[in-house]
Amino acid sequence: MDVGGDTASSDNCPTIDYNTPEESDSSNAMWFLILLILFTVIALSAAGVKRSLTDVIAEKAGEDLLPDTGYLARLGGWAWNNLVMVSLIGIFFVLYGVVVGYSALMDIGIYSNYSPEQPIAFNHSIHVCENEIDCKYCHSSAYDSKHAGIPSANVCMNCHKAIKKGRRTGTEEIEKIYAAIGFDSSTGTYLDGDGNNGKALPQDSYNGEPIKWNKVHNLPDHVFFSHQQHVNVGGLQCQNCHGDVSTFSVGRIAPVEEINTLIDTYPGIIQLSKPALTMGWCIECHNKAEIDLASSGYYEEMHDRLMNSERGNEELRRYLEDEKITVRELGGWECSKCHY
Amino acid sequence: MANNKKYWSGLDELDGTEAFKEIQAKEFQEQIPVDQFLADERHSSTTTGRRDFLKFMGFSLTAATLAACETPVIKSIPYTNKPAEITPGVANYYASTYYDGMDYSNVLVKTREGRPIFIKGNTSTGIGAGKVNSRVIGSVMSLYDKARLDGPTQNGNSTTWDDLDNAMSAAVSGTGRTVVLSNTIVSPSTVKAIEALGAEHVQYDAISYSALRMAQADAFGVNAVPSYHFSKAEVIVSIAADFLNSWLSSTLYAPDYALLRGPERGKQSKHFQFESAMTMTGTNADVRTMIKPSEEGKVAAGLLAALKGATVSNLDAGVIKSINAAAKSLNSSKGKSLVVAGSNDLATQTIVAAINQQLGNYGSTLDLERPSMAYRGDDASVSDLVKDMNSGKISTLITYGCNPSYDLPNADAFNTGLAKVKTSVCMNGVADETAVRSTFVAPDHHYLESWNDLSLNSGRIDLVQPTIEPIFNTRAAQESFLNWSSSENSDWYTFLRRQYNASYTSDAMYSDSDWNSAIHDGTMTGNDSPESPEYTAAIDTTQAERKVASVKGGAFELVTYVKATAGSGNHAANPILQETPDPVSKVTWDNYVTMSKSDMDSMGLNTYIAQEDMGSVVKVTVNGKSVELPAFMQPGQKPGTLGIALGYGRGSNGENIGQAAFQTGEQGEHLTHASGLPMPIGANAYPLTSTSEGYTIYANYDVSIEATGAEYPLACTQIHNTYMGRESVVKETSFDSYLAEAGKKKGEASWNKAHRLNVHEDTNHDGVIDARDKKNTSAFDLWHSHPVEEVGHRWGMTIDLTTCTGCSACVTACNIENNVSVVGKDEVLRHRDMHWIRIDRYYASDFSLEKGDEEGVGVIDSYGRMEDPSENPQTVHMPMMCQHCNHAPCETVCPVAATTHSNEGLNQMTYNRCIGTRYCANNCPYKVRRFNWFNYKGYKKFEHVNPAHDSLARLILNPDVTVRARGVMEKCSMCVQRIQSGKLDAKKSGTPILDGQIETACAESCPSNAIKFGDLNDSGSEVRTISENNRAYHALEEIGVKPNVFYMTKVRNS
Repeated sequence: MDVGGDTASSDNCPTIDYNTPEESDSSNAMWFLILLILFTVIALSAAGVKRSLTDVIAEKAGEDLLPDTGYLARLGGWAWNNLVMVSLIGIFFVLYGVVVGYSALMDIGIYSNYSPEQPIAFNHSIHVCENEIDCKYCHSSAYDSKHAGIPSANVCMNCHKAIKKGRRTGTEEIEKIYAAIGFDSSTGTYLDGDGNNGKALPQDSYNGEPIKWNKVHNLPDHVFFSHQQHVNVGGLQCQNCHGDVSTFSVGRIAPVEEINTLIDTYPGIIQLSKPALTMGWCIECHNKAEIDLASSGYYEEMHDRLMNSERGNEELRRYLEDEKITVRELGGWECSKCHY
Repeated sequence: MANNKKYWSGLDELDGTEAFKEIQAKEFQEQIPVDQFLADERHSSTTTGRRDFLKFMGFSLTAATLAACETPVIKSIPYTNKPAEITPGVANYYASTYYDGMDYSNVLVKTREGRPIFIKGNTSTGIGAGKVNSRVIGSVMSLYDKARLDGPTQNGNSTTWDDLDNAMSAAVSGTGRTVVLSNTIVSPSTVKAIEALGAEHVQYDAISYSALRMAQADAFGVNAVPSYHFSKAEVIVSIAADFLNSWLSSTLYAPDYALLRGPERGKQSKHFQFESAMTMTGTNADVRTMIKPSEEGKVAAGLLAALKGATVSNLDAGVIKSINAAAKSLNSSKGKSLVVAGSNDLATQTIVAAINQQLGNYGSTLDLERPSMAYRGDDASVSDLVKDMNSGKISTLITYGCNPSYDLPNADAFNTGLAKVKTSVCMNGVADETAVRSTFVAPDHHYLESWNDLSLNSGRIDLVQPTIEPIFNTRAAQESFLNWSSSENSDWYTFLRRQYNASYTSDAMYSDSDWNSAIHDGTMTGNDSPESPEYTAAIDTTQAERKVASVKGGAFELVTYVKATAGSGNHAANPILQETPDPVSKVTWDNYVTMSKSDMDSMGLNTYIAQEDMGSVVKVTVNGKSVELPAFMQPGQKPGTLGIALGYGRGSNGENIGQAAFQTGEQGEHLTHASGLPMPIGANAYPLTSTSEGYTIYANYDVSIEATGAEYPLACTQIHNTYMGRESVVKETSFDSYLAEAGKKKGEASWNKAHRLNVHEDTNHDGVIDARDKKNTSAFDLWHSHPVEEVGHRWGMTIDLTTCTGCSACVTACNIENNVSVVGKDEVLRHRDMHWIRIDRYYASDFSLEKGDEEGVGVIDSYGRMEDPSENPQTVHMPMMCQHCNHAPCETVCPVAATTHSNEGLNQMTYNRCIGTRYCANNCPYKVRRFNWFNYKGYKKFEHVNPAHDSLARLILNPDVTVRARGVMEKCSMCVQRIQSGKLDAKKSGTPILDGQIETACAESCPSNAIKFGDLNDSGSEVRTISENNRAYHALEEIGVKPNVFYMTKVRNS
């Protein structure tokens, strides 16, 4: 049975692809470059014309022609004579170079809008927006583990055992799941290692190639990030760090500005300013995120000690000055909370 | 006086002619044809090709590099069909059991994503205390060894299982004797599988205990090794039995022994040790007496006599004195004492059995009702088998779980006999000494890939379950036996299940709830069939006593012993265990001849071993067989005796037993002998063992030794032997002194006085300010303390020096848990070992500053003499790791703040911030910081020894801990990954952290529970209670860094 076709909400679920983000930025630069070349050519031509005319006048007057030196030598001479202008132009270029160079270097490691091509052109908006599948249905280990995980093919098969054809790409992408897990869509059964079908469940003996996804949200090896700490204990919504995935096709790192706009649809999103997935972004949120100590028995004794400390409540009272306890005040800015 | 003479070179100059003036003006006398040169057309066409070439190359190379500079793409590959019980990132623990013929432990195997990465003891349902030792913890490394065979072989060439099965079935069912030669099999089901083969079964142990067993059989009618209960023994007398390290089931004895150490109960066990070489057990003895191996039997006889009140003769006066003292202690603890002997001599063991019987120990501290089912190897049967093999009487030989070509005393005879066996098959998983000499090799699974049942004592079955799919094309040995037998046709797993459920079929694989809970616990109760020993039967020891009295020793006697990390030789290819320093000598990657200092001095051998000072190689000859090894000065070695460790010299014929099993040189390359064979680690000492009256003897009473003049470097991690009389490094006292002041407050007892500094205040209120006004060091504070120090957690550790035996299980556990790099022998030689925790071993010195005062020796000379340990010194083991000082000297000097202090008291090391200044290591008073001098996981110098190089061996790395790069500092983090994980669990469940919920790797693995970890701010925690005990102190207390690690004064019952 082929399930596909329209659902009522498909028109309200746009897919915004950000696969070529550089175009919007670079188009302006291209025009500037073209204009610059144009002006240089005009300037050089005008200078050449002036030179020829000067020669003509000199010849007419019977004076010496201008010396037949090369372009570069004449440019050098002109530069030496107009040092102020040349320095200003030089300073302009150096400053421009420094600014461009510095921002390029500071962009190293910023992966906002990083959206690599994936082996299967998976479309989040179809699954999340149109079919309203919860994030943790597929990324199930977010609650129990440090990894949120990418679903294994058997999770995909929960639905795609029946849904064999999609509205946009037909059977092309869905067939890739079948190739990995060994599913014969014509019979609706699984294959075994010898190519026989008729099995009800995926067979261990079918030696298919697992799907090699390109990891999108990748933190360096020296960082320990635990999803369960943030999702289970911290109670954060997925959208807080990953943005509104319901508009994505394949996975993408949502820039922090985009996440900040979600405050209306997902109340509780913490507004941040540093680029997404950088350490400064994590630190900023740790500075702003609040913890309700009363919500967990884990903090009970510590809270008592804080209130009854002999050290002098003044020194410790500063933690309560703003009437809230942030992650930072509990030690969330300490190095070995994430680097070990 | 100035010279006014004028000099000229020619008449022209003298005359000042025009021609001369012209020439003077020119730079060169002759005309140089410059114009001619410049006019040459060829030059204008010559481009400065070289310069331009370099310019272009430089530019294009840079451009290419910049263009190629992309962030690498990381793949994320989930399962295709994920097993339900695996959550990526979450560890699953499986109960299993470790048994290799020597050690027996119930373990919990920590697996991540379907592969084991750590082994810890099963303390909830395990046998005894459920603890492990260094060898068991390190056994996870041998799973990931590329030297393991990937399928059966025939004469060295790979073959298929079907072909092998056909050949073997024919061989087994054919005419001629089929013999299975194995280590002691304690698995009831495996025994049945072997019975199904219809073969004879000869068992032998690499380290044999036949004499001990025969003594029990002769005396009490039970042919088994007794079960020992050290937890009930108030007095222990050990005659060369290394029961804490390697004697019988040391994993069971060490925790039990520790229960009675620790003086808070008001009494402490008393441990006498009589031995030749310094063993790990000997370092823990209260009274240690040096004897020669030929005197072991005499000591036993003397003890028996002393117990009856008779006088002891034919021994040295010092030994007699100790024997009398031991007898006195034993007589006052009848039924609560234990006498053990490590000798494999029937006469000695008979006498020891008589001693224990007389003391009423049988049925209490040792029993034969439920004896040990292990150690049933029969040396005599093996000798007979070897004879029959050489006579060609054996047609099929199956070797299983043993390596006789390596560890039999008559291995040469065995090898010639093996060549005469028509069909020989070896079940070992690596092409080792026995396997390469066998026709077939049918590689067995690693124990972490196996199903099995084991029974050490009657009434209890421990189960082994696989924790990973078999990595190589190996097959369970028992399955091979069943395939080759003509009577059975099931697979091994079905066979095993049917032993416990006769009607088992594979449909019921998961539905048998009894089996499921047994697998979960790792154990189940089995049929209890206790023996009925006759404890009261009279034991006639006259013949035995006559025999031991007649033993004569020569000028030099040899003792072969078992090391903590090498075992009987099966751990040779394990780099982590090779690099774990020996508990007594602190030497890695080698074995050596231990000698006393006086012997070495008289032979002119080098006693000082360091990076540039090599050991002198000596040749020890026993019955015509000799080994050449470096001599190592061992305090406590009886003069006139030598000690050589067994378990080394594996792969001496170039057998491929693993990359780390061979010696590496300065560039990390495998060293080779002149013959072209790779140099093994150490030398094989098994040929130096011998057989006497059917028993394997591990000592030899007349050996010869000569210096060869050659030199050999020994990688020793601790060269400094004594602590030179410093105050608060080690604090120890005797039990009586402890009792006298047991009630005093912390810091006031004379054996644990708080360190005090002079102050310029009248603290003693005597009206004067003088040198008598002092304050405790702890009252001084250079910096403010952390404001939340008493609010949240404050992670701390206590280490009891009384119960620490020095076994180094903590070192191995820490290395595996924290991805500590193995650096190889050359780097260890340069003191660049990377161990986060080390066990400092101090010998007592006879000399002290007070003694120097008395004898009129100057201070400098006194210090020099204090460096010499005494001939029979007392030993202290002190585990040392980052003390997590609250006023850490390392934190203040880091220029980039890579090491900081957390609110919870931990000193944090941030690897990514470290720039490698090494000022922190310079400032650390405990010298616990280790620097990554090289890229250990990538640089070719470490490719043979560091697991991270090998694509299979790197699976052992703990995914929760960063693997450090070159140029960063690292140190003990107090297993912060476990602390964070424990806190997370507590936060998830909304409960406070209970004491014992979080354990560091070292605390978890310590068999004696000497290391404890917990929250010092938790008033109910053990560490808090212990830190307030009057035995608790800080190491180097006087420098005032306020560590979070407490040590407890060592109390000896001497």
